[in-house]
Amino acid sequence: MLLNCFISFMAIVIFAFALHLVFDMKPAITPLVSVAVLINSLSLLAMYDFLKPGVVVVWVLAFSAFAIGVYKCRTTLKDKLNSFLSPGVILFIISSLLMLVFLAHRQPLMSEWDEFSFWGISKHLMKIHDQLYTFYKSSMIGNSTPPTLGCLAYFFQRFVPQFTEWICFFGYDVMFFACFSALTAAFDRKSWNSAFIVYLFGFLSPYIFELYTKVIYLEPVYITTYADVPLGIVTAGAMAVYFFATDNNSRDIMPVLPVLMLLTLIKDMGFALSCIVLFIAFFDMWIGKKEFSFFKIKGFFGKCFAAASMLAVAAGSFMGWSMHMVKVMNRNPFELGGVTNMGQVEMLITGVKELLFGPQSEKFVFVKNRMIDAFFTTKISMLGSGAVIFAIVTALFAVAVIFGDKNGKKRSIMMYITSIVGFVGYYVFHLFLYVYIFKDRVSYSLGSYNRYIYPYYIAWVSFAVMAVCLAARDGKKFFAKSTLFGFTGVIFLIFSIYAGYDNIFIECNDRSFALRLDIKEKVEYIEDAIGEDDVIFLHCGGDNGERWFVYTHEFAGNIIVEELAVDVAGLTPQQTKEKYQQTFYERFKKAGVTHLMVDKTSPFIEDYFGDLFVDWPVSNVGNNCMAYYKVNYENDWYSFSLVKGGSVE
Amino acid sequence: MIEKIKNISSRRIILGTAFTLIALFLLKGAFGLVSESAARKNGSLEYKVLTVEDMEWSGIENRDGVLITTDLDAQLATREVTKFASLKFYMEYTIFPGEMVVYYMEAGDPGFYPHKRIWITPVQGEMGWYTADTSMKDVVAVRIDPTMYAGNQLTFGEFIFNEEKTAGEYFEISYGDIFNLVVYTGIISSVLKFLQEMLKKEID
Repeated sequence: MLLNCFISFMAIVIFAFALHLVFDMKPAITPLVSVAVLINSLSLLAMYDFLKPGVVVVWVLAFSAFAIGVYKCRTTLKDKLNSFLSPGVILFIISSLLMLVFLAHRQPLMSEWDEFSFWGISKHLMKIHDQLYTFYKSSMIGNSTPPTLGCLAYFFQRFVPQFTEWICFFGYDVMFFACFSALTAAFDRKSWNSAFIVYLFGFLSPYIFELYTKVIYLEPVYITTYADVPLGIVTAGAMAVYFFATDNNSRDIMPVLPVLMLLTLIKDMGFALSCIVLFIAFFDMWIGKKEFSFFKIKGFFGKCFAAASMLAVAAGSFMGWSMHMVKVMNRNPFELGGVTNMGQVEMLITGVKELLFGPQSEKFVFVKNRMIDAFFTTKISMLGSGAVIFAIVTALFAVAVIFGDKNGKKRSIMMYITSIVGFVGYYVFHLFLYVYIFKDRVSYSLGSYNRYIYPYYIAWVSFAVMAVCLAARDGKKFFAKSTLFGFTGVIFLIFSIYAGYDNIFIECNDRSFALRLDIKEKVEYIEDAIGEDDVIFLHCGGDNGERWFVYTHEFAGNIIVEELAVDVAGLTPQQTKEKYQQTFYERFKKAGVTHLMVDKTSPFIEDYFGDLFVDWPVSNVGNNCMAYYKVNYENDWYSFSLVKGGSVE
Repeated sequence: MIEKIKNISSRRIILGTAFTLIALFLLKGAFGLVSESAARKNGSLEYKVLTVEDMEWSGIENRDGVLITTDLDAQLATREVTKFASLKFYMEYTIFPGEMVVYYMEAGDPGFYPHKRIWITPVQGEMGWYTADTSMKDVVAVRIDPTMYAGNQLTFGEFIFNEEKTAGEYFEISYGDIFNLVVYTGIISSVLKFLQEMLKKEID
């Protein structure tokens, strides 16, 4: 199990080294570029249904690139290795290996709701079927989400006999650490201390927005498969890859292209973030890079061409995924769905029109005011509201401008302005999402506001730190370095006070996975009774839905049919019962349900379906019991006969 | 002297910091061992066995001899312990208990605090036994939250406070210790290096 993880990790390191050897790429940014190239390749292969052989193809790609690099630099290999081992790369390797040992030993589990409805189960499905989730029917919701994170998790467990959750976390963490390494790219071996501090800042950056106060429950930043933190960190990483390249030619742009593709294919919002990155990068090129040439096209046109290629990659990967969905799933890619059933372009046009020229609907005004309000009042981080974060970002950029060298000053000012524009764009885009796409219940309460917005904040604070790094390299070192040390120090201090290691991954307790462990016991008990092709109707008594989703994750290989609501208002008990039985019968028939699974009975099943159980009555199913029934269809009616059932403890 | 400091290599700064921290860690273990055995000798750290009847309940009801939790925050508290180093107890349940925690209140605290808590973990190989360990603390009260769920039927055995530890247990290293060791080594040596840079006037 460890071997697969280790080889895949080595492939990333070796390919990073090859990038340094062949293209003379700056060492600290190579891990992220390497992750991006390898995972993009795997995603592309997966979209053509070559996921299973894809991993080996990617390994071969990595190792042959390494061979070419070694051959090319056969005389200077030792010097090259020495220069490759920059502080960022060393920190990347050490922290990844420590994380690997920790995760393999501790084996944490997924614990957040949407991991069971999408983020986790998608990885489970890919492992079971050895295919991308677009190719088959399953009980997963939302199979239109782009593929890179799934492929990232699969890359590390292709040869592992069973789906393993901690390996998914490991894949994510390697990608994060590669981004942190890119953040340190301003510093060489001599300034290892600043590199370490910036790396530590990177490590803490998601916690700035996850720990609001002294927490009691698990904050699973590095042991979750959600996509929000990756969005933020990879955006920061992509910016760093661009920002710290100083060759003034196409080498500035080439490394960032694969990272933009990776970012675009993390989640739908990745495309917006990619556009913001290239927007900031374009203005930075314009003002900060003098002798710039892109494939021998010099000056302003070269810069335009460079930005156009970045846009082409981002838009191309976005379109590519859409085409894939059209081809494989017959889906219209531009439908955002949601309450108004609007297309993406349509949403933007309508939104901008309504925002600037009116008339604004009541809902629009309400949500707009709430979002403006939320910027100032909603506590989004350990430091305070969005406005406070903005103040801190401003202060950091101010440091970068005051203490930077001439070029650095210009670049910092420009980046400050463009990142504000980027933020406004990102914020307005979410306004449109809330108004036109989300359900009213979510819109009016700004549901999941923090989670949707903080990817940009993570990236934004990182941008500011990058600008300070530039000053610490080229400008007045003392003040800029002091700022880096001080800022990271403050965050670390608050982090240690708020977190307490039992609330983050480091000392996560099994009790935080209580629900999972409870269900795992039952799954182990019932597993052998379940056939590969069973279509299961699952009932969990007294459940808010979470148990149900955890089961769909556990039994990802089977189809689990959703429960349904029946309107029984105004009926007598007898009629209610008949209506329930009839509606469920039709539902079962239509969905082809072959089995019924019951975890914890509730009066509901007993009252309305009690007489359909032929042998082991469902009233036997107590709190710790689990039962699995076969559905018998006879004479246009159904009954349930026991396959396996009993007390689990 | 100053010349010497200027010439200390980065490697020595990092290794020196790491070894100092490891030494401090061992010292902390030794301190725990010595102070706890001293406290045990003079009788202030007491081995004590309580039953569930000795405790104050909240969120738990005795229904005809069966203990049932009535809300999501069932608690058992005692003020009979003044120095607290460990707890071990026996419990059976009907619903998987979820998060289990011990809180301790120190003199002057107006109540129990979320950060003054210790996780309860099952004892490996001893079915039904749970344990929570910490370094010795002066407490005025200890509270046990045995389950997160209402309607859980609980059966308790003995609550053993301050069972004697072996010498090795004082030096056990946790994930948190390793994390601290790595991160603090990095931070402290980075700061030292920064001071050295200032001394060498490498940075203006």
